[in-house]
Amino acid sequence: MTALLLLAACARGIVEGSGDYAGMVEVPGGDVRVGSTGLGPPGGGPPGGGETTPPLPCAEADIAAGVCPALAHQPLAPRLVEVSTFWIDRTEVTQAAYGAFLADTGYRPPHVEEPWAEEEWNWDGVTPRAGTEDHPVVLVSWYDAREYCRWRGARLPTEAEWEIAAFGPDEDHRLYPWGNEYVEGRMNRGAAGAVMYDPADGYRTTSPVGAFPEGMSRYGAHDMFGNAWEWVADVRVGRWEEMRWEDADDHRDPNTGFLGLYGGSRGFSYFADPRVNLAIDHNAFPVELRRKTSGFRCAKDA
Amino acid sequence: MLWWLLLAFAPVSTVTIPAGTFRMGDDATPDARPVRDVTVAAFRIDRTEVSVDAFEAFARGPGWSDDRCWSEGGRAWRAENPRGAGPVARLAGRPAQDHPVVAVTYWEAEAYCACAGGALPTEAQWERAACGVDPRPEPPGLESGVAWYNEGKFGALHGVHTHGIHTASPPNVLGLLDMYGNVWEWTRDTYRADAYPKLGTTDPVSTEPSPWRTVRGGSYMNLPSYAGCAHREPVRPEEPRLTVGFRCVYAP
Repeated sequence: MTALLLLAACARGIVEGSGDYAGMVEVPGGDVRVGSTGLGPPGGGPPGGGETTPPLPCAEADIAAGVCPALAHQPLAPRLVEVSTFWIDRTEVTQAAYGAFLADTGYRPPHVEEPWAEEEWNWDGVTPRAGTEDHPVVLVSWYDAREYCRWRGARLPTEAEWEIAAFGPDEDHRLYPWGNEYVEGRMNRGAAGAVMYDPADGYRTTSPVGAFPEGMSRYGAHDMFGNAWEWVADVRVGRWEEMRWEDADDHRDPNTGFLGLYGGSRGFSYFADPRVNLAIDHNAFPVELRRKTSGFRCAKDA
Repeated sequence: MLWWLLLAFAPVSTVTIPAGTFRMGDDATPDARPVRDVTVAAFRIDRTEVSVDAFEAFARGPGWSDDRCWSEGGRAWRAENPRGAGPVARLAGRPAQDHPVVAVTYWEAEAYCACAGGALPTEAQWERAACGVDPRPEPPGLESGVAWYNEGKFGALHGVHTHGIHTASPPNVLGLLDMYGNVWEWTRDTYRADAYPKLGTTDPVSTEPSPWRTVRGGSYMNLPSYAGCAHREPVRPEEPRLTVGFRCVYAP
């Protein structure tokens, strides 16, 4: 009987939602480690050994002394968090979906009064730029993302939920959404080793959601790595390394109303490269900042 | 009149804005178009943002529980939130009480101003005071000394980085401080991106129902472009934020 249950668990495919959960996939609950030492994934490498952690960005002595700029934004030591079964969007929220929200509510269209945004990203009304409809919406703040998810009867994922949706539970945790090794062509990423555009993967900036199907996580979520950085519900008053976990949100409740200055951000973007250091995945930006690489997806209680 | 409640407050310095017409809006910004000539009657406005000190005096004083200071929406909010975000959040780790209060909802700001014999500014009043009496200025750059998030888009934000409400910063020609930056300021208008074409051009105020009110002026967290004369931001009236405070307007 146990063997049959185990077989069923292994054979568990992608569970797609309908109705209120249309466009979402189910993520089974479990324990997951949130946080990072900055030296690689939480808790060390993949189960059973395998691929080594990516090269360190600085000399070990500098890392130990806290003078490695690439690791300046790393959060605190990992801790184990229990996540309940929940649903998450299969893809990042698209420009078209965000436009429907704007048309319905009169909320503020993405717009930053600066030349870089005016050239490529600003909205002129409730309609996305031609050709970007199925790309992830970007130039949205953590607040903008929350408003969209709330309009849909959903919410932002907590960091723990994002973590388990991308990599699985702690006892079977992947380094990348698709497995334990980096494979070219599985994500829309930036230039190797530098923060810059790289069109070699076929896209200079955002790509249509789901354009890298081999990068899908085990639960069916696309573009967890790459395309747009994704806001999560967790906020911090200070930079993550300045906070104790006791000061932090309850990771199982994204709507505590905790006041924060930084919103958690996960998953890299078309402008970033995980091969520099996987731990940079654990990022955070000021909650009101609208960035050309920041988007999101929504989650919903089961 | 609530004049007797004024005894609970230290006198606040105000500036008189004369009646006049100004160019309101920005055609390049989707929620601030079209630019129109808008006429605003004379009014007085607080020279500075409301400080932690002044707000806590209200929160501890008779005004907090005086229903005459609170709108219907405010009373409903207060019933569920008897202390609001609380004094610790409103001070937010800053070294002195003369910093602008933050983490106050629209309802608390509205009640504070009512108790002080005034009201929150409309968007038209705010924009008129910020840049509608001057020739329209560009927002100050990073060198202006206003409390910007001025360490770049990838820089670090160390706490609630306001400056005191009386700290030297370039006042506008009327002597108003921190209309740009420091903290966002609540206005009375509900927020809709398509509000402007539907409004009149004499003392306009948006009252169309919406989940949001409008804040103006940018904060320490934002790049200077967020503090433009015409920049509008939607915030839920029940949502306390570490970047949002307010000032009041009064009859002339």
